[in-house]
Amino acid sequence: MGLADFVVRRILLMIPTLIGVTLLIFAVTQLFTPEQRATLYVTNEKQMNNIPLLIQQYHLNESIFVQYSNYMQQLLQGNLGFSQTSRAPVLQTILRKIPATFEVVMMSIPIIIFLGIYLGVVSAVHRDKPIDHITRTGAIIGTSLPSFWLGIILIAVFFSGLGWLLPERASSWAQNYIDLSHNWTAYTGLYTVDGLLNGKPDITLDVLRHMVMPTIVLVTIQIALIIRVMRSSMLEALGKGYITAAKAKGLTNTEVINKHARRNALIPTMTVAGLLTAGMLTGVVITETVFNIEGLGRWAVRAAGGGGIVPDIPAVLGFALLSGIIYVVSNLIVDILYAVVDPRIRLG
Amino acid sequence: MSTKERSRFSDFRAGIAPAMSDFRFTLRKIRKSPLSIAGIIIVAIYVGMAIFAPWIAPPVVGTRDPYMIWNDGYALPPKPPGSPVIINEGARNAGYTSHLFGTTQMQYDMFYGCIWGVRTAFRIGVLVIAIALIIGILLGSVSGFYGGVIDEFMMRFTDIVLAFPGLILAMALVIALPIVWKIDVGYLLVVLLLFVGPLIIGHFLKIRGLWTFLIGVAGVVAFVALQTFLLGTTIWTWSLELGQLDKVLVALTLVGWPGYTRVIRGEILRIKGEDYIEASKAVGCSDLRVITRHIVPNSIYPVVIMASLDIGSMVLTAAALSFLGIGAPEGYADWGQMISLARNWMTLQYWYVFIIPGIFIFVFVLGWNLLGDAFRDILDPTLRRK
Amino acid sequence: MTEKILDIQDLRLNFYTYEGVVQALDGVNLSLRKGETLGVVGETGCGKSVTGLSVLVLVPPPGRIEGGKIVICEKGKLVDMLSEEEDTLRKIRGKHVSMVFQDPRSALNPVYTAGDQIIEVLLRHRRKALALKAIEQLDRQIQQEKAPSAKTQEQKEKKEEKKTPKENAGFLANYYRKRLKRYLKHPKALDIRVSGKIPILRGWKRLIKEEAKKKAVNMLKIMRIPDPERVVGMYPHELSGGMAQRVVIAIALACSPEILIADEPTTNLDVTVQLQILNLIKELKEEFDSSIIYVTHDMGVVAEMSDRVAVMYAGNVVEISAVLQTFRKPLHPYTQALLESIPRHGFPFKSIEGTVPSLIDPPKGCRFHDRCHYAMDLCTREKPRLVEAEEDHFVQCFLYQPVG
Repeated sequence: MGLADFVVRRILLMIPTLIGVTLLIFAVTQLFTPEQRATLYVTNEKQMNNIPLLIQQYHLNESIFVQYSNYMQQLLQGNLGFSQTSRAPVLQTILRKIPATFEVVMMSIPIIIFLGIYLGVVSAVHRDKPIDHITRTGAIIGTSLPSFWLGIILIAVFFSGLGWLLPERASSWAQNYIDLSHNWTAYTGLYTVDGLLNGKPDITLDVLRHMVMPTIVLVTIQIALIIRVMRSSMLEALGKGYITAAKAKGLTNTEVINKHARRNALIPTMTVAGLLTAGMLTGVVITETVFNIEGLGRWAVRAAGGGGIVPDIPAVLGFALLSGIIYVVSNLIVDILYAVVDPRIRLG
Repeated sequence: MSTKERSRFSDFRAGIAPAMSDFRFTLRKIRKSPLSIAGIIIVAIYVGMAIFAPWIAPPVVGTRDPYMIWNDGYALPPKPPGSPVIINEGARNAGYTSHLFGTTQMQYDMFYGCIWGVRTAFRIGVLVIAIALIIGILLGSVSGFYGGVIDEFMMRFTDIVLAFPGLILAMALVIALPIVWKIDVGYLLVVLLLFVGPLIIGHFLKIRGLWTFLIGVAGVVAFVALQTFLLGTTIWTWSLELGQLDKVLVALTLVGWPGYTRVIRGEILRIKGEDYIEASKAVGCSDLRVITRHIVPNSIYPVVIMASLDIGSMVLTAAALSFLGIGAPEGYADWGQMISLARNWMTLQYWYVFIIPGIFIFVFVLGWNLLGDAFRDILDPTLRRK
Repeated sequence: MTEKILDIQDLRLNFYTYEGVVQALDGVNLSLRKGETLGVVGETGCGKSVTGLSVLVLVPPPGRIEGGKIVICEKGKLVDMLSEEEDTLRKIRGKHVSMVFQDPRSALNPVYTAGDQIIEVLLRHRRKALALKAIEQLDRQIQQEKAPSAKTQEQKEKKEEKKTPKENAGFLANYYRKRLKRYLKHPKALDIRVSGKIPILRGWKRLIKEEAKKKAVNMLKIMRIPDPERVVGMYPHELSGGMAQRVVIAIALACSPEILIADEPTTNLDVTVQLQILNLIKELKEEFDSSIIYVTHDMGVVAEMSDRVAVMYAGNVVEISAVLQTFRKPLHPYTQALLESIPRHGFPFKSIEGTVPSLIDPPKGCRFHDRCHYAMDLCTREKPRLVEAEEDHFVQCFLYQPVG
């Protein structure tokens, strides 16, 4: 079948799932009253005052089929509603807030993957020895810790206590420079990268210093899963016949472990990597709230009920829809990687 | 005992001997693993705290809902553990002389909150998991057993629900669920019957396979049509009033059931292919009997393991929701809610405000995780005798 | 008598399991002579596979070798595998002693191609030879360019004007040649290691790999696999059982080992394929001049393949002799019972009474005594030693006295 065919087929399979995602969000909207549903179609603040008109316009009192087609139309045009929390259209808000969220996620994911795989391999190879027990205990503790609790403890110790690390995204002097100075161009929206591109490495360092705590929180919670799966799949791989066969060729232990066992053990681990995205999305919601970072998560939480009496429906639903889409796409990527690594998948 | 009674008794003992020795083996395995024992002890302690909460932390006279923590005045800054109870007369009458764990913002007594929080945690964890489990097993077994279109549909549906991270979908559901929820019990019954009915009908009419399902569906449709025709509408409607925490429970249940459906369905597909299923069908067992006697006992283990691990993660998710302000209301005896009050006091000086409830959560989840791991190592028949 | 190439003396091996200590090998004595095929035959659980693995010192935990010697004759030197360091053993495995496994599907790593796995063993042991080949190849290439291909002066000038890629290749070829020569002399030198990591500079390594690939294709050809160029790029799950086994054999023979241990190589194959593989092994033995230990439970295969036979029972070698002797005049009661139990047309079924003993709590004395018709009182108390009952016919039984 080949890789190209596999990729195309897989992308096509993704489309019904994406449609399903929109269906589910739509189903959730049906739990609301028509007045509440109207907020999803609002494009600017003025329209908020004229709800009955909107209900008319979008047939919100009619059958679900009509409503759904309206909903999809609006969606595909990019209209996800207007967010009271950010005073801007939902789509625009999302695009504006992505860099803030992305920055911390970008730092965490490589650590989770590489450190997780490494520790999983070490744990399996030195089974039942001290390093194994330590790693496994750490992993169990990691899955039992409430992430927000860890975040608060880190703040109490490293910020309030020692002053080494800082919450939020950047210090006020850096944030002011970014917001007000005419010399600052937001090339990527990522403060770290932009800092270097704008010739202000001190800003980059400052932001990095702020990123340490949220990264620790995100990594601690997620890495446990990778370690566990990697460990168990390594143990399984090490018991297979081709390991003895490889040793019979005269290969060194490191070669056998890294070349033969690890490559096979990565396969089940990759399936789990899909769960990483879900964990990241959840983690982002919590860390941004704890550390007061103005990203997607913080916005969604405020919209859900942190603030006023009326929840900001388009924002929460928009965020949920985004999460669903991200998850589906990341699963696609994982499946493709899966086919790259395991020839049995792509060749059928 | 007469000779006849004695021989029947010894027959009985001989009959269950293999099961007994297996059980003893299980107990021995449990005893050998310190982590399993730790898990059991932790969970047992929490169960004790939950049951005896009204005695350990007696409710204060004058409060309507024992789940709302009592305040000792309304001063803002928290007080450290050991501070005396100053203002609340009712509390002093109930036996409180000092705040054992201190107070949090707005002078909520943390000791009371943490102890009653155990009850809240069990309510959330056990209730949500139990209901999600039942729904999941029902739908999953039918889906796996009958396969075909039903299975395809169920898989697509669970895929879509599982495409959302639990917390985020729960957030959306919590704000969507109305305060008063009219559930049409009639329709619920219909859906239930749609799945279970065919099995029962098939059992008595001695039919098997997809035909039972079709005949069952026909029967249920006939029943609904008849009843609608005779009575006008469906039978009765329930109105549920959902408090804030109830909304969380419903939301978490709706988020949780697809996981179990898929696991059970996977197990059933695996077992369906096993020879002993063929054998039992060849001997003439009805579908119901095959499901209850063979399939369910063999497929239950992974689900049990998953459920015990999930109780922990469910409590974590609920705590996170409360922390974010979307779960339990302020003043409710919920650990996450208590920690959310600590957001203004994240320093070492006020350590007790977040450390103490956090420890309660952490150890609770740890206990269930250890238990789930222990179950996995012990119950999985392929890992048992290594 | 031809010299011994492998000598297993009094090998003891235990498995430490939860149920107890399994005394799997209880003083195994075997020797393999140069150029012969020694069949090792016995029931499941008698320890024959484990003996094979022990020669390579690859018994997985919870197994542990508790005593004995395994001496191989490597280029005139005597090496006791059990007292050597891992490093030395790794130089022997795959190169002087190699193994063909029972299940070809599980012996091959599913994520690497057949070619990759053959190349792997070649790169491990034959780098220098491959480097030499690569140099020869480069020499040929350079000669081609030096030789005047342009007849007229005009063409020569044209050639000199535009720098064709081939000209550049000539420059690179020289560089690679130098690198390879240096590698041959000082494989561990710093500049070799560094240049081996940098993208373009490390091209010389690729040349070695290409030579290895050529050799791999050649090996497949020798294995009588049609269309070896295509098979070299195929993955194990794409290969049939017979093909996969040929690949495993190719890996084992790639470095022309002196000793080949074949652990039931045809047991998992269809009967028709079995015959093909057996014939293949016989032919290859001639071509590669290897000595083979052939482990099997099938007496028919033993008769077909072996020069000499060792019969194993419950962790002991009970009889060794030339194959005809074993079949015509079996001495040990177990061998006799085994031969009698082979189903024959027209004769009633005969089996050996009793069952194989538990090796956690083996019977005292001779391990066969509880199933043996000729058991004496002595057999329950003491264990017999392997004695030469006839010329070149060894038995482990009190019924026999040593010759002479």
